Amino acid sequence: MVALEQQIDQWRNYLRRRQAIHSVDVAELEDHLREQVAGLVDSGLAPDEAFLVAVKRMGDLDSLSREFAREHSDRLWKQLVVSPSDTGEPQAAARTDAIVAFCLAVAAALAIKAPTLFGLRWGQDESFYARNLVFFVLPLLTGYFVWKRRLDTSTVRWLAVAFVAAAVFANVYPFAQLGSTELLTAVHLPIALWLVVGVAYAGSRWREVAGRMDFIRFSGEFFIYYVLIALGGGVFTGFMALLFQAIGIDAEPFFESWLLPCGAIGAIVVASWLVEAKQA
Amino acid sequence: MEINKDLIAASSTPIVLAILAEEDSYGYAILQRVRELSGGRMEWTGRMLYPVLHRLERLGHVEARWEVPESGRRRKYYQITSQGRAQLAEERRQWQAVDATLRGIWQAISHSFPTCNPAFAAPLLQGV
Repeated sequence: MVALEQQIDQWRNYLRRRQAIHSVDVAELEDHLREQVAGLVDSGLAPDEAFLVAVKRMGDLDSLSREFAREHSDRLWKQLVVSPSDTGEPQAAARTDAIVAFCLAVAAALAIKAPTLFGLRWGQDESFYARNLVFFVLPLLTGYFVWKRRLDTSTVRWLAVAFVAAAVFANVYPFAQLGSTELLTAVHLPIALWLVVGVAYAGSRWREVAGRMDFIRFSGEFFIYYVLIALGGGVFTGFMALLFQAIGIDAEPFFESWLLPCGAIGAIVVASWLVEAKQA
Repeated sequence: MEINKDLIAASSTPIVLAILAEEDSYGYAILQRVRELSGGRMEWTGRMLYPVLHRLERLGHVEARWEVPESGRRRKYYQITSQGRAQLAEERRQWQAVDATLRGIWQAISHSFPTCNPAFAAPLLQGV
């Protein structure tokens, strides 16, 4: 039996060297191999013979590793292992996806400026913006996922109901000017509505653990991308401000009332798209 | 009887889903069940089964969980999801269409060639 364990050890090590086969997969395959060996030993084979037969029955490990690479292409550099023949159509889809995301980002940027038309100035009506900031972007982001996941109309109806209910509450409830209730709403509304986005993100899988876990991963990656965009944008804006200062133009009002709100809100859609594009 | 690769690949999804629709199972047991169901005519390898299982898991047709049975070794069990059941129903419709087509043509052939050895035709009919 010692010899058998050694052989299985060697086999396991051989399998572990394949990048496409993760250790959980190795555990799954090892369980299979042991079961197979046990079955063969029961039917009268010596352990070492059983091992050979079991390995043979598992099939060619090179092609298994290739199949796994194809199946779990997110695990490694796709291009290196998957034949380029099956990447024609996805490219066109990726382009459409990028265009849609870009349009939605522009729409969000325009939406955040729309209240100005009704006399609500950015930087002055803080309480209005604090309560309503999320409504300028999250419905659009939800729309993006509705489009991407091809959600059915009944789901879309519920998502819309959630947003409308939240919007009505945020604007009808008699808040005391900058009171605690208002602060509480401004802080928690985005979190609650982010969960609504999550339902759209997970699509039909939001009732399953895997679907919800995917959304948590998405949220994490989204946060990282957003922070990176914000840092990059901040540095860039700083340089621009210095340049304009050098030639004697005061660009600060433009930065404050246009670049910052539009950029910050548009980046939410862009960051979501980046996470999606990376996974595709 | 050797069944060709394409046919094995095409039938793997409905077979795996149907076996999981019976009850939750794991890789080795699924292979055993396939052998049993096919009367030993279909011998799947692990190399062929696991990529199928992982694909079905990615597509959301099955869910996997790890369990530790009495033997003490962790084992990955697969369970069909509601989406998987829907997919199974769809696969079943398609296979029934193929099956019906083949049956039709087998019969037509055996009518037009009545001299054809019935012992040769019979296993073919069973095979589909």
